[in-house]
Amino acid sequence: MDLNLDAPHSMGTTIIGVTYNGGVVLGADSRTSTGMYVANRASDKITQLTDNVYVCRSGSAADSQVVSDYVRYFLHQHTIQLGQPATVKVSANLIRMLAYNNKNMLQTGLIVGGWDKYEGGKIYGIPLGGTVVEQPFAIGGSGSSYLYGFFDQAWKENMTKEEAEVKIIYA
Amino acid sequence: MSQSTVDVPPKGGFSFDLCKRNDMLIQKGLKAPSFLKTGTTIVGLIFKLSWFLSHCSDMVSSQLRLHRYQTGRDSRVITALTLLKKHLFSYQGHVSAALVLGGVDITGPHLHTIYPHGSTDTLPFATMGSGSLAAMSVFEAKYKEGLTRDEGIKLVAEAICSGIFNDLGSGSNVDICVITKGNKEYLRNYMEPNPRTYVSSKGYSFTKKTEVLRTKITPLMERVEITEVTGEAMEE
Repeated sequence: MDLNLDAPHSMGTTIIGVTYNGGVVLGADSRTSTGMYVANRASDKITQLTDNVYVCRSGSAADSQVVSDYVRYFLHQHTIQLGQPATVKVSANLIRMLAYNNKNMLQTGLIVGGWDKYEGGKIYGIPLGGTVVEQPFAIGGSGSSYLYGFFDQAWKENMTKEEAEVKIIYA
Repeated sequence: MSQSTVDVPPKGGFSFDLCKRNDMLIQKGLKAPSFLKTGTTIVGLIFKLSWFLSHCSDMVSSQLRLHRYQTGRDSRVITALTLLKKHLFSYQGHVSAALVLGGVDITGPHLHTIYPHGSTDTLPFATMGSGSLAAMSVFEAKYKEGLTRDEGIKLVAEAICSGIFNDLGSGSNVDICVITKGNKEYLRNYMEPNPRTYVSSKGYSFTKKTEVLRTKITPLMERVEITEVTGEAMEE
């Protein structure tokens, strides 16, 4: 049995973010693996950044935790300075700056989703290199390759919240 | 033409310079020198009001003490967690320390695992180390919520024993640490499932003592020069 327990903790993951006609729905699985071994079968990959913005983490567990911790801290300061809740675009930009400037050292793909009063529900996908792409729905993680086909067929604009949740759970 | 690089004296801290070279050597087939790994099984478990830790590690206790003095409050488990996390992340996994951190603070009992690369998980029961798979199998089978203290101790001991007997890297005895609110109990050698079976009743005497061949005493006072500096007091 080839178990390398010193392998960096990665979250071979499936994460999804979907907008619907009232906001966004985020979904994620809960397995963290070290090589072949399941290190945590109940991990929480959807992390809160602010009251209205959450991020789905995939890739290296350590890197994504550190990035989301930093961004939460920056957003907290930003909210205090601004005097009103931060927008999803700002959160996505902060993550993007960290991801792009440290692209040689980080290995994490993130999906930022949230709601603000200016733009409504928004999803931003931030894959490995540090690109930011605003999308009506985003999928990420190693398990996402299986979902491209599903979403191509199943996605439509202006779903209700229930439809969106069902689709994510099914995926 | 002047040199563009300057010889900078090495600053403190971890030097990653050799890591690339080591990687290259390993790729070329050189066997890396093996560290003395303390193959271990460590295990943590939350029961009702408190939790256990069967192998304690207090790397950041001094930092926590300073933090306590500064804030005037009792330390929290997540403070220790963040300190350890930052420390391990900055070494990018080269400090091979996998930890189970637990404690009881004002917010209640907490149990966290910390991996060498700096990622953390928060769980009701956790195992780490070479025997972690064996111990985790016991936990997954037998853990339930609302355990009493004695049930918890028994379960943890069982999990560690499973690590001891089934993992080649773990062995000998079980140490348990029970932490409750305001009180900790370190049960060293709670179980000794591997006693020495044959102990000679006569005891052991080593007849041949080591011979002393030569004695040479070098008083260091002659090597060290002490100069009195009569200068002025330091002024700001």
